[in-house]
Amino acid sequence: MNAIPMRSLVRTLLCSVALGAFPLAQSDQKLIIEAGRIMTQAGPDIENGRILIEGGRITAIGTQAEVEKPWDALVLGGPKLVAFPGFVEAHTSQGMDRPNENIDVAPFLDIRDSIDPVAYFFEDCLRYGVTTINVQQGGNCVVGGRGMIVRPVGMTVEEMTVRPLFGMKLSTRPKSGKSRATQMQALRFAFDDLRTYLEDLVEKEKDEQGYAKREALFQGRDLEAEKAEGRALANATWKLEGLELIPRGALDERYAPLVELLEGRYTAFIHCNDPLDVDHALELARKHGLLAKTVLVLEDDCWKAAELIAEAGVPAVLEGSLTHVERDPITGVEKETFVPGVLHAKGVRFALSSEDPNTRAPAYQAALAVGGGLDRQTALDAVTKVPAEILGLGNEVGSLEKGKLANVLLFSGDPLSITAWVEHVVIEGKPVYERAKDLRNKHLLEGVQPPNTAPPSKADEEKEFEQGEHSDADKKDAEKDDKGNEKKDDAKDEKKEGGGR
Amino acid sequence: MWILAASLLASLPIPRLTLDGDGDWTIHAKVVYPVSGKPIEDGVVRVDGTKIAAVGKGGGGDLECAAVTPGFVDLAVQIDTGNASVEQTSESVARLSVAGGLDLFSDEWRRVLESGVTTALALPADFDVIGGLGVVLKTGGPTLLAARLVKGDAVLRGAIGSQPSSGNNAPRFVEPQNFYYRRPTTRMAVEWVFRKAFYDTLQGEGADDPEEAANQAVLRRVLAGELPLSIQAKATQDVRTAIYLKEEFKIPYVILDYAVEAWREPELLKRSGVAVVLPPFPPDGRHDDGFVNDSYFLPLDAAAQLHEQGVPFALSAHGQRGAGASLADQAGLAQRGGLPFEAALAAVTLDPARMVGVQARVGSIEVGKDADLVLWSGTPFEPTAHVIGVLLDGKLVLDPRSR
Amino acid sequence: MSLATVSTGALLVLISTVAWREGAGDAPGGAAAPAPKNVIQIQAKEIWTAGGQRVANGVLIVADGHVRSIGGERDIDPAQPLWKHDGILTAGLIACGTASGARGELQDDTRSVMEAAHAAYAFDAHSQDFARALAAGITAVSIQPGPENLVGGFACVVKTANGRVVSPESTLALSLSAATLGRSTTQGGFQFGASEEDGLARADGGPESSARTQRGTREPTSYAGALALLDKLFARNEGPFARAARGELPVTIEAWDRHEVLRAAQFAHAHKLNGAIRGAPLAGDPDVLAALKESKLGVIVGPYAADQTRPSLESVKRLAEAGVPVAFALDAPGHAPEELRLSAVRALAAGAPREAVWKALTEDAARLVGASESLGRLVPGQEADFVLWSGDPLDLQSRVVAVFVDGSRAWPAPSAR
Repeated sequence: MNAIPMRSLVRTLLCSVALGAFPLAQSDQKLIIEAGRIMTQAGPDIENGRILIEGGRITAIGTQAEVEKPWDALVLGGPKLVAFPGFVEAHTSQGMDRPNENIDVAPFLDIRDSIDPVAYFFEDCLRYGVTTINVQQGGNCVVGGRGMIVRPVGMTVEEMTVRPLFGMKLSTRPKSGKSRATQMQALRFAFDDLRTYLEDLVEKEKDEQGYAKREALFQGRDLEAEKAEGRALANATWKLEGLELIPRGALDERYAPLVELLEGRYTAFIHCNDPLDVDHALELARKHGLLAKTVLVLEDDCWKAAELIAEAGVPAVLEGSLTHVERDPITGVEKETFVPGVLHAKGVRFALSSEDPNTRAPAYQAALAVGGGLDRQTALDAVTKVPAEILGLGNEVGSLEKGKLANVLLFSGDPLSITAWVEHVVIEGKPVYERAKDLRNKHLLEGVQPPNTAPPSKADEEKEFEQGEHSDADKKDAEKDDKGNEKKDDAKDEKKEGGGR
Repeated sequence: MWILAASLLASLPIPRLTLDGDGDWTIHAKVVYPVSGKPIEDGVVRVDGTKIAAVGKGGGGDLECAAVTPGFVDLAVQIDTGNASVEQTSESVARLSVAGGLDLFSDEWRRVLESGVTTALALPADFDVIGGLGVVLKTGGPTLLAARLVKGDAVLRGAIGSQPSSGNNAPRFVEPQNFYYRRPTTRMAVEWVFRKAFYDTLQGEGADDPEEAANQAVLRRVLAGELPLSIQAKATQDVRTAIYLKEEFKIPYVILDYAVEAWREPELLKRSGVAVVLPPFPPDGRHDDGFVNDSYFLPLDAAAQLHEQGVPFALSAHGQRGAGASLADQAGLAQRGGLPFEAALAAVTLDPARMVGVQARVGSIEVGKDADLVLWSGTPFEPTAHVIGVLLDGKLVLDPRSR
Repeated sequence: MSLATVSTGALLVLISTVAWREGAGDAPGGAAAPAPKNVIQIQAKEIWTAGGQRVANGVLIVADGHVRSIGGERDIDPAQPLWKHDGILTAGLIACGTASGARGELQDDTRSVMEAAHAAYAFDAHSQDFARALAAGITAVSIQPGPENLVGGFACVVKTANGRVVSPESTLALSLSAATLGRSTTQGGFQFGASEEDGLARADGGPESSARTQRGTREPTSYAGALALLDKLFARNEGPFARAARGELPVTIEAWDRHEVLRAAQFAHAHKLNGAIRGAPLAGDPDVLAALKESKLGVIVGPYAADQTRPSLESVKRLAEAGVPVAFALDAPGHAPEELRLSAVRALAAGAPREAVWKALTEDAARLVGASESLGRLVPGQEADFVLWSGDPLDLQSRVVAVFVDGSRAWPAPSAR
């Protein structure tokens, strides 16, 4: 009986700490970044710019005439390089070992337990310049648990942690094996069950109040003060009579995370696969007062519900293909829809994501979005500013400004050009990636075997690829789980039309 | 050449133009990339009927865009009818043409056309060792082959490596019950079938069978250099085998298709004078063809390496059409691997056209050639740029004004 | 046959609409010719004869199971009884592409060329499939070998009333569809392979079943191979292929996707074949249409599925406008006989001309299944298969009142005396 409140206390402490970001361990080393052009994403570009970084943050940014170079600073960069803020991933289910819990309603889960610091995904994030990543449970869930924000450096989850216990994953897309009705019922039941539990708790509290008071008096404790500190649900979006009587520590930890969701501690990331799911997700968010902290994770043809999303004013993360293809059921003509274009036109604030393994690099995603017709700034915002805001880190990351975390990329050219490479990545003032030293990239680019590996015999190579594939395969599995059943095949065979064959 | 064209254009009165979609067009671009010559800034291409009438500098046009390139030529478009595109009852069916099994109604044609591919080589699927004849055709227009055909018997298709043998069984414990038992089950036997076909041709073996005689007639054209031999050769050993076969039988024209690992054999490539069609670049550099278990490796700079060594090569999408995977995107990825822009452009236009002998009609923007043009919203092959317009035989099949 | 014996409630309508005309006098003009037996005279509000002709208050005179004449009041033979029908009288409907009475018997895919196979030997004449068809106004069906063989054999035309085979070799069934090639390249489970084909009795009494294979057993596997094989077959000097090439035997070519239809039409044109394409849901596509027109083949469409797209529903309209004859397949017993009329009405709703749709159910159908000499029209000399409808047969509310086959009432069945 004692163990549960103790653990709850630890968690509560963690929660309160989580309101501020966990910084990367710092030294006194100052860093100067020089670039032919700095694309600050917070105003006009700076030609021949310089960034001074101290204690992991940008302390000065401007032209090389404006910013002085301290004599003891490390200098990184060059006149041909382009500095750009690190990309922000608003939502991903990669980088985990075995995502997607089987239990339907599992708000008590913490992604911290499944993040794999050596996952190939994080290595790739550095290569592509993603410096802030929100890892959430896969979409194959009802209430999936809590995620966290990480940086792709460190050999332990603690080192990687930017913000623990961030966000709660929910899904209105039926979990595999579930019908839509049972999915929605399970979602409703999760909250109904919580209500029953709390009512029960309130009743007990009322019954035992006199006794508790007497005992406190006897022990010389000030119960009122105690309760004030740990008063549960003061700002919950629910109204439940007597709720204020319950000390936070009294909550069962299986229920506590849901209560915290209602209190607005977690952003709800709701996974949607169909326009119908969007409707359900928004209804759920409205019913429980979560709308202000809801983000929709959109796949497939959810863009059809763009007006609903715009009306609700919630931001979205695009996980599906940027171009949606479907066949008109009447005419049989194939129709392509450029999804970011629709969302932008309808006024939905959205972030691009790197879930598509073919177009994982955010720069490439943004470039494709521009190619599809989006204006350059909206496309760039979708991989920097918007995801930063979605993560509540708008003041920390997403642009290069004085006072912000020094997450800086140095590109060999325009970040949106196919020929541009990420040459350097600096995370919170620390140079953490250099392409010249990226052996795996050299291998991919030039076919050069990394040193200390066997000479290129076929058998070895296959073995190596099998291993390389392993993480890939896991990821594919994750993706499949995530999307549940295979995607519907819109293309209809002409042959079917004859009927009766 | 282009200067000549420019001065020619300057002296010509520009005629009144009709705008009904398949009349005459004047296309103005910030840059015209003729491929056969240097890029023309502030350039104009004039189309008269189905042909290019003039290329030059300056002036306005009916259609405005950032850049114009020739329509692309894809030597591995892979819009076939799958199994039904190749006759598997024999491992060598040189006499049969893929023309009999094309589906010109497939939506895929429109998709590749709108991605800028205007000319394509259609091949039988690689389930046979010698799978038959391929044809070069336009990707749009009427759905009749005769209307789209650029070159009938364009290449003879062969395949070595593991694909033609996969799925075949050796007869064990029972007598053979179907033709798959007869077919090769290993690389060695695939190569044997290949060589046997050529040996039989040289010696006239079995030519009293009319079908075999028809097969041999095709192989003789290959040996005489009238017909290029396109061989699917993925792994290093396949590339070597293909080159050894070329040298053994002195086959003049050999194209190594899907040559993932050709870059590993630069000396052999140069010695033998083969041309190479590269498979699409996988996003992570690794390649798994999904059909056999071998994984072959294609580095991102493979095209750049072949370019530096002077090996003729073409890029291909090999049936990929998703975002970032079209033929134009391959030209972008090849640049990411270090290939110069001009070479990347040629590798999707004039170089593949030359490989299959259709350069007189397509592959560059030159007066008299087919008016197959791609209009861009920005710098070609950049992901930020888009194919906004396509002309095929002078007909506007993707209208930049509707965007 | 006497209506007086009719006693079922359902037939009261018939009695009220068809009545004896009493007071028949002597036949005019003496007795030069022997008086024909089994003469029936029916007068209907409207008789649809052929080629879009309609005779108001016409009189159909049937003798010896054949149409003797169609005329007006003055043609009535007072010596013979006369029926009156307060509705429309038309030729019986003809359903193409059925497997009536022969479900599961029309597809022997152990080999791809079965030119000597006859559907006529495969059906059960007493199957309920025929009775059902009859009740829906279908007087004849074409039973068609399955689509999985390059050459499936001979289709036959059968009367639904008595299972009489009108024509045992009505058309030669070919298939250039993916089903043929697919059957050649994919096959699992029990195999009938070469060991059965060579005819040797095996010690264990059956084909070796331990030989499992994932892929198929026969040629052709490709369109090009199929065309090459057909070219070879049609180069023969005798047999069914030679008859087809001389134009004496119509073919029915199974082809569904547009490219298959185009290929089939071009093949038929090259070999001067006549007959029809079975399938072709998108035959209205301009290029396909042009090739079909050139080949002079007809098209057997349907039956329409619930999710049939607009372009394929409209194909009948475009085919009719281009002068390409159309007929409707039924795919019985998988589809109910009423779906034949439903398909026609859906084509009508999609803009097809009324006349073409009606012909597709009758005379064009007869033509495309190779039975136009005896079926499909109500003109003198033709077999007297006709239907009395309560109203316009292209209105789904109209009922079948009675069906006559070979001049006798077949439905409702005359009660036992």
